Amino acid sequence: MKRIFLSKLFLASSTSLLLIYGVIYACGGGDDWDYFGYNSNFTPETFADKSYSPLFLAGDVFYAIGFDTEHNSRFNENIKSDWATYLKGKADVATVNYFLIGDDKPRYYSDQKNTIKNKEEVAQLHVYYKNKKDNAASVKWAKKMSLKDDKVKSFIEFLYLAQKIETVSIGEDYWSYDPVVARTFNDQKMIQSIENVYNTTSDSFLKNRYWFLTMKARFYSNDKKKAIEFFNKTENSVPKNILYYRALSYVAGINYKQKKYAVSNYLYAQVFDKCPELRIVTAYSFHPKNDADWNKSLAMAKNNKEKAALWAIHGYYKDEKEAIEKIYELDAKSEHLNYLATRLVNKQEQAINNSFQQNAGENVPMKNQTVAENKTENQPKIDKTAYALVEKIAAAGNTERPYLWDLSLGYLQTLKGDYVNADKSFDKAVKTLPKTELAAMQLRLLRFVNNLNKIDQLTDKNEKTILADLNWLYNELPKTYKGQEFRYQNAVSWSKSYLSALYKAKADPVMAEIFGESRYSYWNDGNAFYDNEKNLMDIKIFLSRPNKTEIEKIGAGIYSLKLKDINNFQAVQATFKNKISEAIGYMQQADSVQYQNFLGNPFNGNIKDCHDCDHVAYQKKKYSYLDFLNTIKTMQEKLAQKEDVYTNSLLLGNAFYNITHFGNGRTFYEITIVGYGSSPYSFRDSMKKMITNCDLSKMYYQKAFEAATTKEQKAKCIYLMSKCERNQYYNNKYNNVNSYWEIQDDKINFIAWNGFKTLQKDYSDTRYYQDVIAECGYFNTFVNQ
Amino acid sequence: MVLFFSLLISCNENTKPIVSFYYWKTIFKLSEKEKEILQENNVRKIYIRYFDIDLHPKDTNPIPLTPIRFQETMSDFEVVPVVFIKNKVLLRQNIDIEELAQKTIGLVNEINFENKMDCKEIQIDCDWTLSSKDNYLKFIEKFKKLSGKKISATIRLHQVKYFKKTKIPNVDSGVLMYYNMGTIAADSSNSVYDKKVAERYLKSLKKYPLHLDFALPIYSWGVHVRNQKVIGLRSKLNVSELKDDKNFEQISSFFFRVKHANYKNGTFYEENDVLKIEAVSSDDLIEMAEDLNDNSPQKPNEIIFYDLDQFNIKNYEKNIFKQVISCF
Repeated sequence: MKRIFLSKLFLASSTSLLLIYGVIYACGGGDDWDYFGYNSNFTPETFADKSYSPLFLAGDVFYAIGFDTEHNSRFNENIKSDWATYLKGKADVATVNYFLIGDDKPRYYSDQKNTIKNKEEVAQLHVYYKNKKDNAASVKWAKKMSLKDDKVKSFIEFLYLAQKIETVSIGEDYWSYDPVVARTFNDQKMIQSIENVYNTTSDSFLKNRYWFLTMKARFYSNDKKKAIEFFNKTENSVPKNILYYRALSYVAGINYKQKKYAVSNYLYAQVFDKCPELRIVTAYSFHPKNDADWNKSLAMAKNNKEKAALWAIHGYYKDEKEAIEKIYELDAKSEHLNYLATRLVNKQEQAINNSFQQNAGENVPMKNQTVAENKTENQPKIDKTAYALVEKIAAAGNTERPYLWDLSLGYLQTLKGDYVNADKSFDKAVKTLPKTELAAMQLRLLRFVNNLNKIDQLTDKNEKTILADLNWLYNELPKTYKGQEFRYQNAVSWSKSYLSALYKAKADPVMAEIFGESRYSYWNDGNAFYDNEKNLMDIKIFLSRPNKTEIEKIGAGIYSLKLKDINNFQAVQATFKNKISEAIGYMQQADSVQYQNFLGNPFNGNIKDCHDCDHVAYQKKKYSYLDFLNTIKTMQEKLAQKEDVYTNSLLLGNAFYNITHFGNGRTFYEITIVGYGSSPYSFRDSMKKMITNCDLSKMYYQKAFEAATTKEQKAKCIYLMSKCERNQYYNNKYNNVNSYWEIQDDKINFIAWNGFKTLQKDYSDTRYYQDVIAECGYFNTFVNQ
Repeated sequence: MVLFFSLLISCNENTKPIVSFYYWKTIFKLSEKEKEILQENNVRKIYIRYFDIDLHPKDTNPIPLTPIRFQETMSDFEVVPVVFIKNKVLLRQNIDIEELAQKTIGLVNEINFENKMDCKEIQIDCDWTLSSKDNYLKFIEKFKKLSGKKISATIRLHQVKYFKKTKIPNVDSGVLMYYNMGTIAADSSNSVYDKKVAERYLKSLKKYPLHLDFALPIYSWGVHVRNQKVIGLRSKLNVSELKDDKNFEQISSFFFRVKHANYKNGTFYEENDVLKIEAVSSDDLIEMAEDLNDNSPQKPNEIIFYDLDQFNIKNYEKNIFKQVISCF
């Protein structure tokens, strides 16, 4: 990998940012400036050439890639195809590629053994040509190509020289160290011999490549002035191809190093303009130090196109508006306008609040907005001068892609609340719209956003204007669209929130929930809507009702919870309330959930609460959730008949213990509506209370205690009750604080529960007592204190 | 008994901490001014950032970034290489900690070898979190064993206060980073040093079981604000420089407004952008030293200033470093 890539293009080292610690804070928790576009309905790929895509608006340095990922490989394909054409009929493509590029994956210590030997073989072939004596490489390759052929020989000899220079331009591997800032290539004889080939060869293909190789060698030498001299002397005679612009970038780089920033930036802008392959590199290298540099660069531009190029690159760093304005004046047909326009529109979108929620102050939950409130917040955010500029250019219709300006204008009109004119702009765009999938989808999406925005109150009539598009967004696109670029996800979530807000305004909590599914938090799916019994019943009625309207069907289709999930929730709730017959009824309507097995035996009660131990322990019978409930029911019936009271009570105590947070059967309650999490803090208060409460289990242990006939049995009950007592203590202690971090160290690290005291006082002669001492260090400590 | 007592006293008098510096640039070269400061303060020890470790953005393997290059002989100083490990390296799934420790030592040794240097101590700088704690502690263990050198680590304030949760790496000593206290924000707070924030942590120092030296800030930077949002940090900026720049207008003691859009030090400033200069005054430094002295269980052996750069130094009186250590 090229050294320059590490030292220059890799931005986020602690040096360039001073201290990463600060940056973590600066971007709000996480040291990555992530993918951008989640807030967007405007896909820049619809409008600008691929070579601009890293320059689309991003939270990162470069859009979608973060940093330049091709610094060492961007011309590989190019070089391969150039040489493959040159050597056609002389050597096959695989051979050409092997010698040219070989293995272009980054290398690490560990895989050094596997590196291919193409470079060594080139050197050997060079020796073969020099001495005319066969060696391993010549024998091997003579079978695949004619080594005597002039073109093959030229190819190998070129590579031999190119490799010499590569030793300074490309580093070995990441974990190696070079004590100098930049290596230089100072074999003047070698440089001269490369230049000599350039001067003498008559083959134009080779001449061009030796010209570039001379430039490259001079660039890496310590006499960089000569590189510029050579370039100036020969520039007019070389074709203006990629090699030319690569060489011109070297000249720009040398000027930068010499602190001639104005020239450097001027040259970079010209490369940016003419060489799409180098757009990302030149955009990054362009670097005026101050205003004087910038103005000097502008003054150097020989014509409008060159000036426009400077503004185009400048617009990547600076506000796009001015750049668009200047370029439009200089060259209305400039391709650079396209990418700048996408940045301008994306920037407007960035400020939009799509959540329909508003900050209500510190430590206060977000306030929900109505559709009208949301528009009042968003509409003034559209920059007036940006709007005027887009309006002007769209009206003139004299750019390379008029549809870009019509769509941009239409979208900005939507965002401003001018829906009628937005429609007109979209209609106008159709006339010049290219016949691509992306363009068609973009137009449809923007029309939909405009149409939904027109609706302030849902009616049977206006509902019809959005149904097809809702289906397209929610159901068709996720299945049919295989690309990555098209930004429709924001429209999906925005339209759901929009509809939910409309239903909220209509006092229709069920439909508001259907479109605006409330999740407890990012990490925990729990849904508090179901804590309200009426809500729960109403949404069940809605989901099971057969004669749904179109929009209701769409809603039910996208709603992540199904009847079975709600039944499952009711089963869990009923179990915790000890209404087992009810629970069985619901569980039977919870589809496959009823057949899911507990990981451990839910009727076991051990001295230590250890899920993992219980899960790996041998289990003669695996209990499904339904088995579990049925078994509880049977035991309760026996208990009611006073049959085997001790055992049944003990097992029931264990069963109810195991489905709490402390037991071995947490999966029983970990469902979408309750939530997931290994800490009770992950759960909303109502659920936290339900899953940490051990009263039910304690009640059964008490019953078992009362029915116990032996001391061993009594000791066991007492100990199991003290576990409940312990849990209760921690519930009280921790339920009052909001998070793990707020827990104060109160220095209490040991409490003698009543159960412990009784156990020691009255049951120290039992075997169970000895078991507890052996297994429970806590109790052991208590006994020995 | 008498002898013992007098020893104690004489110890106390002599054990003023030494002054040292962090050097955080990628090419080691000292200006005349910097050399002067080192000489005047009898600096013998410099902590030099050797490289950072980050994840390769494409294949997410750990890689070193911008290793240090020396353009100055270091024979006069004891050099402590500092390696900054990004937390995300340790958060990476399936990371081979032993291999990482080996490679890190390998590169430190290679840098020393190529530059004909040696070191007795290596410092690891990492803002580890609860989720990376296990990997970090393991890394330190391996690193210590493999390197056979004295190992120190930087310690953040929250790691002192919550050490029972964040744990303490098994190092020979720690350096408390007494800066970067707050959020980098558009408001008038100072993220470099804020006494109110510091007070929340100071009391915990007494309970911290690891010996700590102290790192104090002498850097300043500009917080670049656009539309009330922080868009970046601009290093090496101070109040006097902006006062002299006609493109900027001072609107309060450390806030500047951009009057005319312009390029400065290679950054583009739009009209109406705001720059907030965050810096630490001499008085702040003395206050920090006094607070630390009052609250620490043991005297520090060293006070390390972050970072050695003539741009930073010119903001203070010449004897500021002596003033600071005299507080201990």
